[in-house]
Amino acid sequence: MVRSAPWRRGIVWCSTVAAIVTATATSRAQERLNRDRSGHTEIRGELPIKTATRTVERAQASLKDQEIVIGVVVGGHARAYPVNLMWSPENEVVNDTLGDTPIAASW
Amino acid sequence: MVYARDLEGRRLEFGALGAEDGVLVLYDRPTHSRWSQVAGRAVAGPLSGTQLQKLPSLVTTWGRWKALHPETTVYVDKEPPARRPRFNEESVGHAALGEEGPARNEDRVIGLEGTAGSAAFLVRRLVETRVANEVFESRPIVAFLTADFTTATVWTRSLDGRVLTFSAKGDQLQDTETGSVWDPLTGRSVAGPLEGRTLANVPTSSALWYAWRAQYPDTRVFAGPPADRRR
Repeated sequence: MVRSAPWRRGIVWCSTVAAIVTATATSRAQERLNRDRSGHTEIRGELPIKTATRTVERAQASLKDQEIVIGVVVGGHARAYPVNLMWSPENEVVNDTLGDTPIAASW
Repeated sequence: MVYARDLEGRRLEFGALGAEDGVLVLYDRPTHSRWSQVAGRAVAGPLSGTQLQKLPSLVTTWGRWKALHPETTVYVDKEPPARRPRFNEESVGHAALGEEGPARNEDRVIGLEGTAGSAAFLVRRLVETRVANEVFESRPIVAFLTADFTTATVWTRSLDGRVLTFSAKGDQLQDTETGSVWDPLTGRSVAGPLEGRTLANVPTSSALWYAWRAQYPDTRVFAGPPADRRR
């Protein structure tokens, strides 16, 4: 997914009717996570390449159960990429090696 | 998306260039070709036209992933970015909600890439039934969305020449033909006449509608109104 610029603002509160509040909360959540960047072009040049230099075992991970990850299994090796670490273009693609297989995980 | 970085005997490393019409654009070293992140295809440069191998991956909650793969390791960044939004069960699940209507740019989609074309499930449309039985390139498939709306999987729904039809039973699948119960995260039947059998996984891509459509303008939208199907 692509999220590369500052938050868009502009939530307008039209009413305090409960249904409207619910609808606004929904669109706000959608706006936060699923921003419509369809017309946005910003080629910034070659950003630094990100390589996964650190991984930890499951027990050492300081993740909450509710956090979203990209999970992959290659040759019997499983790895999770917390997407909260993959925000902003320079972090959105991670070069890694799982077992003997070089992979790139992206969000 | 997860890609293999070895391509025809060459090892590539990827970085970001920025966004083009909203879609993340990557480059590689050593060739400095330009790549579409959604498709894993080089669109300019020496490797133009080359396709990376997409590896099966699952976007889900950490709780589910570590239960599925207790031996998993976890990527840790050196320095987490300072200001960052939180992708969690509640925010991602909530983002799946919305009014009815045709596909919108910000819709989350589960994309399928076939041999001749592509297709997409809109997560928003799976919220009600959480299951969609469809056919993609002659292959019967079933899409499943977990009850918290965070995790979607797609499976081939034929077994030994018999086509199965699924419905959601809590966070499990059940087929109408035999009544067997299936784990939608592993594709394995856990109860009933087909217990122990496994459905074939259909690799998917998690994307937003505008990015998917930009890459695949002729994509088919499953269970959509006519306006979507015309695309």
